[in-house]
Amino acid sequence: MSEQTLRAREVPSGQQEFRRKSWLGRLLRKPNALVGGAIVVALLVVAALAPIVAPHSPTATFPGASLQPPSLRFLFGTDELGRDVFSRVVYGTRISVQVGVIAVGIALVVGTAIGLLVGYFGGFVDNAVMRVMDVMLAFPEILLAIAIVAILGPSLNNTMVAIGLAVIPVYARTVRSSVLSVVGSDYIEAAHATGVGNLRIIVRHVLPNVLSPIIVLSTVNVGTAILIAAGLSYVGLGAQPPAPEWGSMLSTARAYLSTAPWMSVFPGLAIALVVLAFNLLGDAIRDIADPRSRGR
Amino acid sequence: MFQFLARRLVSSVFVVFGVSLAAFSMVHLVPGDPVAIMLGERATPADVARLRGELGLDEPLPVQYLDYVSRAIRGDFGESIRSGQPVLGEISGRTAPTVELALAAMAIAVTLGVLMGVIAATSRSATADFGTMAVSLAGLALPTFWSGLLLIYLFGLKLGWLPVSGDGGPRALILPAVTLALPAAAVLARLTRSSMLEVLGQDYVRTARSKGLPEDLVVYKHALQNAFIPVLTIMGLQFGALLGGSVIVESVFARPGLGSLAVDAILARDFPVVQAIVLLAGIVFVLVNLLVDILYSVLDPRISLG
Repeated sequence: MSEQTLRAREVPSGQQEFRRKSWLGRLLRKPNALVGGAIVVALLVVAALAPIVAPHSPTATFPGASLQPPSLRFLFGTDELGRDVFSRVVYGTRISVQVGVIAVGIALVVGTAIGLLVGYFGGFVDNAVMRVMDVMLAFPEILLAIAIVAILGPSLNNTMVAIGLAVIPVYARTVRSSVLSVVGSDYIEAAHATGVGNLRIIVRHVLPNVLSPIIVLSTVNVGTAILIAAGLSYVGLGAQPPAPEWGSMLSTARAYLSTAPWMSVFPGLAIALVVLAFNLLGDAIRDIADPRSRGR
Repeated sequence: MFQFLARRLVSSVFVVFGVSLAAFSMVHLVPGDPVAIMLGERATPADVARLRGELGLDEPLPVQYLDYVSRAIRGDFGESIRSGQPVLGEISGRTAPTVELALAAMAIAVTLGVLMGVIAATSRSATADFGTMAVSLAGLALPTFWSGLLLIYLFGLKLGWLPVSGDGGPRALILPAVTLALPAAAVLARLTRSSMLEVLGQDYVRTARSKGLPEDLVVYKHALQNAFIPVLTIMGLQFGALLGGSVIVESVFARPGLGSLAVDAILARDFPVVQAIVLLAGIVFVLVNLLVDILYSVLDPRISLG
């Protein structure tokens, strides 16, 4: 009898392990995920090892070497102050990783918490909070972020906070609808009936069900956050010179477009590659997490 | 139908109320004293007190809000801190270039996006499908402030075909409109492709084919008509995104529109101007979404009853 029970327990847990392995396996078999994942790993490595990868300091100026075209000494050329564009692009990875992590982190934590609480408890608070989210959703993300920067004041830190706040409604909505789909389930009722507390039910039984949509959302959002932050820095509302931020570098480069086009090429290429990588990865993860959406 | 419209109208009115509350609150949410920030470091306490009085910031909040809304309805958004001119005048002079830009970009995005989506969905060769979708993925990742610079370099500086900046008529509109359209075209291409694939698998399309209709007629008339419905919803959202994106594109091409006005006002901490733009933008987005929902229910009668 006890042997049977043991075996009965072993089989599902083994199955689960098998399923988890094949989840990663399936991801690695997707060319989209491989390309995207490789670029994201490269981004993280370069950001971590920036002082080793970059031959020069991002702010060091080389007198007499301003506006030099790409060469062996300056791989991506130099800017108007004689700074090495390659080193600045390399150090720019750190700012982008920071933007992605902080902006998405804020939206993820706050948005998920809001979605879990209002979805689970419902009632008047649910209504009131979701109406506030509707108002925020009336604005495109970038304009909402700009409006929040207008309140907080232009700077890179405020830009990250603004983007995070601007994306909260998307998380709150997604999580809330996932919560609503499980909240009437038998196993939640059973947990209630056996006297499990609300907080424990939310964390142990509801949260796992909302993880997969928020993982998909977050992967794509890291790219979007980096793109918006670079855009705000381009127009002067985000990172300020001399920070080696890609958008702000492009903003300076515009004035030298005819004499030093390399100043415009590389920072933009870096942004496009990183955003592309997160989009590819997000698509691949969504295909696996939600097979119905395959190919969309 | 009427019930659906009435419900959508009520919720739109509610969102507009929320937007007005948000625009009004902006000044009060500023960390520190907004008046001191607006006037800069050289302002005397007397200046600060005078502007506080002018802006009505000493009144109780509900009074201030009602006052703000009733003046806004009459078109009075106060005076710009920078220029001392009425905000309404500043904004109305800048609206046309932005609307032109957004509409031109929308037209380009729909043409390009739907065409690419249809080609990808109907193409027999995997390369054509892969190619159009790869282009669309690239379009999604392309920062407009970079693609704009590349277009300026190629068509403005190297080939000298098109003007690169300013508000000089339709020719000056081409490059900024294309720049702004690329990401939206990419979104529409992806959506059109998946929507077309779904519709092309349905029975009525097979019927149309089997009775010998030309393939082009089946694809562009029978299939696209239905495949277009989800595309239309996204167009509404994309129009909002285009207006948002115009902030950056106007900066790249030095166009004197609402977007560049907003950026200048934020940098100068000119709150009356910023508030008015936020209010206006919010109302426009609500109206566009309402319009799309109505069109949607007209095109697809199944939806209105839901």
